[in-house]
Amino acid sequence: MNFNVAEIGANRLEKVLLKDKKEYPQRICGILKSEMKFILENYLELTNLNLNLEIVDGEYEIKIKAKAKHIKSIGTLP
Amino acid sequence: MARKIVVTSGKGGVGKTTICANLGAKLAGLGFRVALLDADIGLNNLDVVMGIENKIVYDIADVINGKCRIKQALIQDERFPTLYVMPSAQLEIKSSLSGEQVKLVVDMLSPNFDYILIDCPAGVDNGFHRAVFSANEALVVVTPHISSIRDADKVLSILSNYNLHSKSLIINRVRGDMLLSGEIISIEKIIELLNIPIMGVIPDDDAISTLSSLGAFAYGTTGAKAFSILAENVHNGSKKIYDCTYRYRGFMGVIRRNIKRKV
Repeated sequence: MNFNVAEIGANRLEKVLLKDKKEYPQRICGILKSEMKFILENYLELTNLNLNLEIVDGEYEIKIKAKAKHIKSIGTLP
Repeated sequence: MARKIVVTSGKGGVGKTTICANLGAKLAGLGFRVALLDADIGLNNLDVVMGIENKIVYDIADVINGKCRIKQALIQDERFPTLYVMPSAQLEIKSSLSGEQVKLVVDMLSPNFDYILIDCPAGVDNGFHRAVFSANEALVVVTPHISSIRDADKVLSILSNYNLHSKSLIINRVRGDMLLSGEIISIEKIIELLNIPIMGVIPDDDAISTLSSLGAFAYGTTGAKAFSILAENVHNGSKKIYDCTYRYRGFMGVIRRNIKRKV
C-alpha cells in the first residue's frame, strides 16, 4: 500500500473523538469535575461540588459551585 | 487489603476476560493471593476461560442472597493454589444484583487477597456500574482499532465519575508486522489520543486463543511473555512495554511479515 493507513486512521479517530466530546459535553463535564475535585481537595474539605458545562452561542459556559467545610490545616497541604 | 482492579473496555470482544485470567495467573505465579471476580452476570465467560465451568456449585448471587458462605463459592485453581475464581451468576434473572451488593462481596474478599481482578461486562449500562463501583483501580483494554479506541474514550470519561485511584491502558491484540508496515494505529498515538498511562501491550498471539479454548493459560509464547511484563507493571508500577515488532525486524523479520501477510 502506498499510503499510510495508520496515519489516516489516527487522523479519523482524532476527529471522531473530538466530535464525540463536542456533541456530548456532559462527558467532558465528568472529567473536569473529577480533575477539579482532585485539585480542590488538596486544599479544602469539600462538602459539595457542582460543575456544569453548557454551550451558549457556540461558546462553552462553565459554572462551578463548590462548598467546603474548611481549609485543610497547613501540615496536610501538598 | 487487596488492590481491587476492574478490567473494562466498553467494546465487547477485545479480550477483557482473557486478560483478567492471564494477568491473574501471572500475579498468582509471583506468589500473590488473587481472586478473579466475574461481574459479567448472565453473559459470564471467565469460568470457561479458566477451565472451571464444571466445578461451579455456588456463584456470587448465592453469596449475596445468603445461600452459601463466600468460601463455598470460591473455586481454587488447580495450577496456581493462590488463584481463586468467584463465578458469576448464570441466570439472567439474577442480573438485578446491584453495585453495592457486589461491592459487599469484594469487601468481604479483600482482607484475604492481595489482588481482586473484576471482569467487567461490555457496554456502559448497569453491569458496567456493578463492576466498576467496587473497584479502586481500572485497566481499560483496547485493540488498535478505531471502534475499540472510541469506545474506550467514552468509558474513560464515564470512569472519571467513579472514585478510582488510577486508570491505565492495556493495548491487546497488537500485530507487530502491521505496526511496522503502518497498517494499524501506533501504540504512541493510541496513548496520546486516550491520554492515560499505558500498563501493557499484548501481542496478537494465536496461541492465546487456542489455549483459552482449552481453559489453559498462555505459557511459553510471546503472549505469555507480555502477560509477565504486564503483571510486573501492575505490581510494582514499572513501565516496561512488550515490543511486538521485534520478531518482524531485520532480514528474518521481513520474511515473517511476508509469510504472515500471505496467511
